[in-house]
Amino acid sequence: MINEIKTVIQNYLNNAKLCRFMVGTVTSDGIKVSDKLTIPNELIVGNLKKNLSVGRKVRLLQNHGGQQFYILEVIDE
Amino acid sequence: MIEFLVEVNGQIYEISELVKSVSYTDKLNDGCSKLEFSYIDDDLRIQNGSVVRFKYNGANIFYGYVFKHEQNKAKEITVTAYDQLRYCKAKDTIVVKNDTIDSLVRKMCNYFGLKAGTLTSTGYKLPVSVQDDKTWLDIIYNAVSDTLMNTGKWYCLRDEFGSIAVRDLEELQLDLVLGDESLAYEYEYQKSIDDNFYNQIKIVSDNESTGKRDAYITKDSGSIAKYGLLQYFEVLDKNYNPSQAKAKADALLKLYNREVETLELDCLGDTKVRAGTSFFGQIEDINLNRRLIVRSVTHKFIPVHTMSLEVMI
Repeated sequence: MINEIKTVIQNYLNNAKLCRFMVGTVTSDGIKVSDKLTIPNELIVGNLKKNLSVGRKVRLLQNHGGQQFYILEVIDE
Repeated sequence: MIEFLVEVNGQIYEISELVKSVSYTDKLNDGCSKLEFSYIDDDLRIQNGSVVRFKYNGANIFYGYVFKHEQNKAKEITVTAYDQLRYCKAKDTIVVKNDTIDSLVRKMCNYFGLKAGTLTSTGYKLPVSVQDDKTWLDIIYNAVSDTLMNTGKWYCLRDEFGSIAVRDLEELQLDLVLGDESLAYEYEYQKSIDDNFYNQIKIVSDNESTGKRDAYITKDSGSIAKYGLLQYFEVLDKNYNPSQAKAKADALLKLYNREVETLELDCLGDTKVRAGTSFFGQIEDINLNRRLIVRSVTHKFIPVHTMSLEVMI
């Protein structure tokens, strides 16, 4: 029983997409986080969005639900 | 009557005469459909992955794959088989952009090598979103509810005898009456304000132009006088402008400000009834006289074909 509850909670949390930091690289059509996932520009917010250049590395904050990504900073080389 | 075929190790066996019980369960946009059956035999050992095909009175009922089998000392073998949608429980990460329900389903079928059938073109472009580490079924059900909210059109994803289909529920209306004088022999009806009933909606949303949170309240005074005040509260996570937030509150009030009715029916079977189809319900005692959509159905075929339905009112 206890194990089932643990599994349920784990699946729920995984599905709810909690707030978290991410690191990505700017590409022409979004910010690439992994080979599978390039976050499209429509979902990226924050003042820094205007002056990004391709190839820069950025730190992102994903909102609860995982449908908005705020640019926290550009990571210095 | 019954035509029951299984394929084991490349050999096709007909077990229509051996089958002791068959039940078929289908739910609307909630996973794959399921066929459970049992038979008694010494020689034929069914295996996981075996293909099962079941027809009843010439109607195509089920085509799918064995996922579980059990047996006991009395040589009774019990088998559970699922349709192709079982394979879509796998998780993946995708970006939804310029996609519709049908294009997502096509991608899914290509990815898993599943056979696609009629994929109704929905025409509604889904909002851009990231679907990270989600099951394909959840991604598609999400798309179905987005499409429903924005166009009012309701679609279902299902497997039709071995090919995956997207259907508009409107095209699944049956010429069928179920009720007092037609096929039904038992029903259970419930009306409740215990769950999902609210007559005041309060929504809070961040407002970028005023720089603080705004609250929007909408209510139905008549309903409050009758049932007491039942409030719904939600903090919106996306930025809504005041008119959008107000519209959302009004829509939620309309959705929740009605007594929740549930109806379960036991009837003689009709093979055309699947989850998502709709029929005409007529039960005098509860003043029911309109079209109802099937939320889930279980057909039992032996000895007599009966079905139990759960419907949406």
